[in-house]
Amino acid sequence: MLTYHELLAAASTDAALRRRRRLQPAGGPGDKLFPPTYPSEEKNGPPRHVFETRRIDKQDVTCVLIDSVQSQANRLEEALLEAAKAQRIRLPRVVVEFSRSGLNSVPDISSLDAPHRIFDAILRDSLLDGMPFRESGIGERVRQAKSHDATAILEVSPTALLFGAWNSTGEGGGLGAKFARAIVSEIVGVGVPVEEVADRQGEITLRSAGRRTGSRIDPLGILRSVEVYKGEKGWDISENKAGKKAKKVRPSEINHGNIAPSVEPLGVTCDYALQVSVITLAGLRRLRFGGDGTRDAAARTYLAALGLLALAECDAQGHALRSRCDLVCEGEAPLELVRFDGSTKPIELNLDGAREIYRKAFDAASSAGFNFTDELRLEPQDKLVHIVRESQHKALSDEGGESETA
Amino acid sequence: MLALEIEWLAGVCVATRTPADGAPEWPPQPDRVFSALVASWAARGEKSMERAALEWLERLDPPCLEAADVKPRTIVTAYVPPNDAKVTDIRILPERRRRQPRQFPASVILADPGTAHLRIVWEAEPDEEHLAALQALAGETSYVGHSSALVRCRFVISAGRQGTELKPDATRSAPYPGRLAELEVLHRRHVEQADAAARPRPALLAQESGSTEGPDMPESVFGRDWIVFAHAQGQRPDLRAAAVIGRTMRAALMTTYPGPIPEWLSGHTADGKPSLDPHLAVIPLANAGYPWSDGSLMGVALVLPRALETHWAEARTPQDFEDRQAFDQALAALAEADRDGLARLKLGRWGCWEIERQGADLMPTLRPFRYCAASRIWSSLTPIALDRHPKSQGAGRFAEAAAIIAAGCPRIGLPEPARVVAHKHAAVAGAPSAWPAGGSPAWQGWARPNALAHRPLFHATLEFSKPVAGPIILGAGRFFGLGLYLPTGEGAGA
Repeated sequence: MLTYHELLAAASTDAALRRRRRLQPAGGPGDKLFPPTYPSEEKNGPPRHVFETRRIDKQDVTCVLIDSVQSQANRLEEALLEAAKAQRIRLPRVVVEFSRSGLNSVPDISSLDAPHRIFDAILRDSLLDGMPFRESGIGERVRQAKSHDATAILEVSPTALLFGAWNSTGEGGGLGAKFARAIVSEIVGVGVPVEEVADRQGEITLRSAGRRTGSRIDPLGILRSVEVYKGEKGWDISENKAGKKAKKVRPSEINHGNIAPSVEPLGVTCDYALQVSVITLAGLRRLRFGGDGTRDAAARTYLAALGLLALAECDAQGHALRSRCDLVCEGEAPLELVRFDGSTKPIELNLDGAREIYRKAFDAASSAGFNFTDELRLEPQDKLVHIVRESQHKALSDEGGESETA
Repeated sequence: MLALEIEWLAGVCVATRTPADGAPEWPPQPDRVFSALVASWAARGEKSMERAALEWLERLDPPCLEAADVKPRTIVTAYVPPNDAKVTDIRILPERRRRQPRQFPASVILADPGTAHLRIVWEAEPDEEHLAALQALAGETSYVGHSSALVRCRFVISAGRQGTELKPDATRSAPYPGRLAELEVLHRRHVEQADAAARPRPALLAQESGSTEGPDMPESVFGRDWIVFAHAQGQRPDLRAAAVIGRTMRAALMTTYPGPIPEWLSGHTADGKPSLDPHLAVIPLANAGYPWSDGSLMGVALVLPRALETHWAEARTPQDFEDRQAFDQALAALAEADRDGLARLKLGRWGCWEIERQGADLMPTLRPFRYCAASRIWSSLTPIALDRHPKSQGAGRFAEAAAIIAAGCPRIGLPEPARVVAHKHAAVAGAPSAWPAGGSPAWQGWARPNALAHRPLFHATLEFSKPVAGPIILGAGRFFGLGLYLPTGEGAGA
C-alpha cells in the first residue's frame, strides 16, 4: 500500500500518477448508456455524442466520450465535498450560507461547487464578518496569491490548486493569477457500434447505432386540435383572457396533449468504459509556497494526496453520471507511478489507504507551517438575497421568468 | 542529437493550430513547446543558468519533428459559465449563470501509453550544464496545449531515429534568437500594464499554408491569421451592410491607433493617394454556404496583408515588434471597458452593432479556415464591385463582367481562372443577390461607401485550372468586404 513517504518522494522526482480503470454499466455489460449530447453544427440538426478513435491493444477502436474532463472535475469535487460534509475528512473550503438568510430553497454554495471555485463572483461579493470577502484580510491574501506563493489558496481552498482556478476578475481587467489544473480525468466508452452518415455538407460523420425513443400519452386525452391561447397572463381557452399578445397554440405548448413517438440515434453500448485519471506531479512542482524546500514539498504532497483521495471517494460514492448513465467499477485498478522515461510502477491504494495518506499529508503540511481554515462561512449580500426572493416570488406567482440563452 | 520526448499522459492532445481556424493542432510546434519550457523557467524563479540553456536552444536551427498518428475528436460546442455576473444580477447563481460557447479541438493519439508521442530533434548537443538545465525545465513542464493536456517531457541525447512508430512531420514554427526576450516583454506588458492583447504570435518559419497545399500552390496577398469579432448582442445588421461595416471598422481602428497611421491600415499613402499595396481588409462572416443558411451576419474579420503578417510573425527588429503591438493596442481600445468589453460599430441607418473579439474557440461560420482552404472552384458570398463598367448589354454584359473579374485575380496574387461565370445571384446558399428585383426600394440593395456607389456589382463563380489557397477577395470593394469568396468545389485532394 502506498505510504506517505513514498508519495512525498514521488512528488519530488516523478512525472505523474495515473490510473486506467474499467467500468461497466450498472445494468451489466452490454446495457445501454447515455453519454452527454452536444448541439449539432447544422441548423435544427439533432443532438450528437462525441466520437473518437483510440488505439487499444494495437487496434483502432471507435470510442465515445462518456464524461468530459470538466464534468469529471465537478464530480470529483462533489465527492470531496460529500466526504467533508460527512466529516470523514478535514477539507478547507469557503461556503456561502444562503440558509442563514432564510433562503432554504437555495443550497449553500461552496468553493467546490461554485463555477469559478475560490475566485467565483458569488464568493467574491459575499460577506465575511460584514465585509465583502474580497476586501477581508483572507480575501485580500487569496487575491494576491501567485504561483510563486500560493499559500493563501492552499490554506483556504486547496481544491482550487488541484482542479485549477483563475482570478478572471482580478486586477488589471482579468489578468489575475492562473493556476493550472493538476488532475485530469475523463471517461470514454470503448468499442461502440456506430453508423456512418453524410451530413448536409456531404461530410461523413459518425452517429450511434443505438436508438433513443420518446413519446408521451396524455392521461387526459387532450387532442391536438383543441384551441388554446397563450399570452402574458398564461394560457386560457379565451384569447381575451390569456392577456396581451395572446396567440393560438397547440396543447403541447402548455404541456398537455400527446407527443408523437420519436426515434433518435442516441445512447450507446460499449465493450467497457475506461476512466483515465492523471495527477501531474510535475505540475504540482510548479507551485511554490513562499518558504523552503521542506514546506513546498509538504504542500505538494498534500495536494497529491488530495487528488488520490478525490478519486477514491468518487469511486466509493459511485459513478451516477446522468439519467441512464450509471457506471460501476469492474475489478481492481492499480495506480501507476509514471517516471520521466515513460516506465511505470504499479501502486496499491484503496479508500482507507487514501484517507490515511490524506490525513498524514494534512498533518505534515500543518507542521510545515500552513494554517488551514476549516469551513470559512460567508453570508450572501442583502441585495443578492433580495433578488433571489423576488425571483422566487415571481415564479410562484406564475409571472414567468427569463429563459436562459447561451 | 538532442531530442525532447513528450507523452500526453491521458492519450489526448488538446490544442488548436492557430487561434482563428479552430482545427486541432498536431503535432504541437516547437515554438509552442518552447513557450511551455519558458513558462517552467518563470515558475522556477528565472534562474540564470536555465535562461542560458533556453537562449542556447533558441539559437539552434529549427528542429525536426517525429510524431505519432492521431485522429481528431469530434469538435463540439460546450457551454461554460463566465464569471462576470454582478451581485445585483440573479444570474450570479450557478444554475442561472448564462453560458458561453466554447470548443476544445483535440487529437486522440494512436500510440501506447509509456511511449513518446512526439519527439522534437535538434541537430546539436548541449554541454552538461545546458542539458541539466533543460532537463530541470522539462521536469516541471506539465502540459503542452490546453491545461487538460497533461504531459511528461524529458530531454535525451539521441543517436538517430529510434525505430519507433513515430513518423517525420513538418516543422512550421520554431523559436528564433530573441524569442525568449520577446516572450518576457509580452508577459510583462500583459501583467504589469494589464494589456490583454500582449500575446505572442506563432513563430512561423515560412508562409503559413493549409494542410492540403503543396509548396507551389498559388495563394492570395491576404493573410490567414484573422482577427475575428462575433456578434455579441442586440441588433444584428444585414449582410448587405458589409461595406459600411468595413468602412466603419477601419475608421474606428484609425481612431484608436496609437501614433501615425500606417498605410496598410488607412489604405492611403502619406500624400493621401490610394495605396497600391495590399492593405487591411474587413470582411463579413455570415451563415452562408450551408443548405439551410439564411445569410445572417455572424461576425466580422480583420484580414491583414499576408506579407505584413509574415513580417510581424518573424519580428526581427524592435520596430517590427512595436508596430505589431501598436495594432494590438488599437484592437484592445475598440472594446469599451465599461460595457462588458464589447466593441460598438455605429452604422448609421443600419443601426449599432455590438461585437466581441473572439479567441481560439470559434463557431464554424467564424473560422478563417473555411475561407482559406485550397480549392479549384470558388463562389462569391458578397458581390464583386467591378473595377470598371461593362460596356456590353444583355447577355454580353455578364460575359464582360466575367472577363473583368478574371482580370482582377492577378491583382491579388492569383492566376487568371480558367473559367468565370458571372451572375446576378450567388451560388452560395444564403447570400443575397447582387442587386434587388426591379422596382425594389434602394435599401434592399448592397450598401456601399461613396467611392463604390456607382460600381456595378456581380456575383461570380471562378474555376481555376488547379487549386488555389484562400482567402479570395476580389474587385474594387475587396478591402471593404465585397467580393469575398468561399471554396465550393474540389480541393487539392485532402
